[in-house]
Amino acid sequence: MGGASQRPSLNSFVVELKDVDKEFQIQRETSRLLGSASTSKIQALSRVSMRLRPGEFVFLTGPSGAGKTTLLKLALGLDNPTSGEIYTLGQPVHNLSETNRRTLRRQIGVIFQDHRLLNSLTVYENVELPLQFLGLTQKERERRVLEILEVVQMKAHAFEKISSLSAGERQRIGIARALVTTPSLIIADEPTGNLDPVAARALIRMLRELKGNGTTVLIATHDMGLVRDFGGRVLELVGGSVPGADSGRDSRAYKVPRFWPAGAANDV
Amino acid sequence: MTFKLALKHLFSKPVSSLLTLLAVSAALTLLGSFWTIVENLERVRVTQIDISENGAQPGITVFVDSKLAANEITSLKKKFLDDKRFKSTELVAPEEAMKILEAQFGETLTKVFSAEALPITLKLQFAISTLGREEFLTLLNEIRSLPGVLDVDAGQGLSAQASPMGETPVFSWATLLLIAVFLIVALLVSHLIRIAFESLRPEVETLKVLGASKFWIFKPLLVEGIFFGVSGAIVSLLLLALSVNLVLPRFSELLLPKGFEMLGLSPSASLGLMGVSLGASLFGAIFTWPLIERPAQEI
Repeated sequence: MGGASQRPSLNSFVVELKDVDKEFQIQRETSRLLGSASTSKIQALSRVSMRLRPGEFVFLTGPSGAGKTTLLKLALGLDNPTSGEIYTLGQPVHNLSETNRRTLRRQIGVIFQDHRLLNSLTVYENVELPLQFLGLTQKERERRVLEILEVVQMKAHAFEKISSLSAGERQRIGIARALVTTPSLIIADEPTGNLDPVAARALIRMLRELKGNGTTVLIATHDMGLVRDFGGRVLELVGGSVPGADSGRDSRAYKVPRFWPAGAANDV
Repeated sequence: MTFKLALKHLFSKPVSSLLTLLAVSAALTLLGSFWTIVENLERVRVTQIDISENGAQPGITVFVDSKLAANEITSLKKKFLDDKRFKSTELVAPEEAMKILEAQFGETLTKVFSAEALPITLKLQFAISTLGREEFLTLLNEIRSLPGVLDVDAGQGLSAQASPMGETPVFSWATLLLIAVFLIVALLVSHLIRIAFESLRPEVETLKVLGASKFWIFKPLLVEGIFFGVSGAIVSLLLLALSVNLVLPRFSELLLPKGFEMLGLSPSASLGLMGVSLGASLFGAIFTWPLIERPAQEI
């Protein structure tokens, strides 16, 4: 399949975070009777810096609430950092307008934990969606959709409704939708969360094979079994402390995990 | 893809779509009912005027120049009979005509003129029960403009009913009520459409993450809004037509004043109802714009 997006050169970074902080303001109800509320801050990410090179296969790990999803959202331009700089596919996401962020996201394959397929559409139509946003001709769209459905072994189900598919099949369609534009970056948030171990391994294997095409794959997961089985580069988000009454801050930092590949520490 | 996606939304949740359509239709039927009542209040009830106090008969009295030849009067009578709104024309005897004039203008006039010197008086009986206010006034002017016609008397009852808006308190209040119902129904319809689109929120969020442009997401919603607006108006107009033509006549003795014939919405009011529905539906679709415009928040 032809590339729909411009691939970054080997010397550039597909994703780069520089001293990124992300703070959330949480409103807590202090009096139900009066309806009053107090505001407290939660530090989701603290001074996070990371770089992903073209063709890297990276696991982003950490316990629930560690900030994995927040980091992915920032890389996708779905949220703004409190401070710091984020570059995705060479674009300064922190400075981009919403319209430009949407254009950028067309060049990124996104895989969701709950697949997020449109139930009103067929398998074919779901996979075709990202190609529509790129403005490809119907003929080209058809060629690509059928090709990618063949790759994920779902061509026979092309014109079936999403509701008739199993969880594993739906996730394969989710992957097909992410891959159909041949993106140079794939971001997956807990893609194996709803799958049985066999289906989960098959899915990761499929994504792992993309490494050969020069596609960068960033997978957020808390399934350490998968991480051990597939190796690759691992970034672990570790919560430094619980939000305290003193500082009101929850410091988080990166640490080098025990299965860190040689040389990768320089990127963090 | 816009129409395809809109249709898929509608048919993927048939019960929800049907309930929205019914709710929109119900709201519009409420508005249509009020509109029908106001239009009927506004109509001139041409066969039900109580003008017996002044001795006149129901209908229109046409005063024709006495110099007209007999064949010209016959031709004039034929012209009225050809008009389907009239069922009969009757030449009033001079003595009877004098009584009509006496009742209308007092004895002074009749003392000055003899019965023979009076204009020829034609009594026109309506074949229909009601006429629109504008139509009634136009008819009077048309008759006045006919050659040989000196004047037309529609009777005090008829004239009062055809008086301009504002002079009839019932009409003013009914119109105000109609405006209030109009606004409430417009808000209700737009809110119903917006609620129907709330179920599409996760889909909208997904499309935003995948990079869909704002207009790409908005277009199917706009088409759905138009669908609900147009089909809701059609259903409500059908319901109104059914109730006015089939249901109401069966219970007219219970529900309507004696001899009162309820007419359905006029074509212009029907178009108005369609316009309200369409406008409110588009407004409802536009309400979803903030949801589409704001940055995607979930993955």
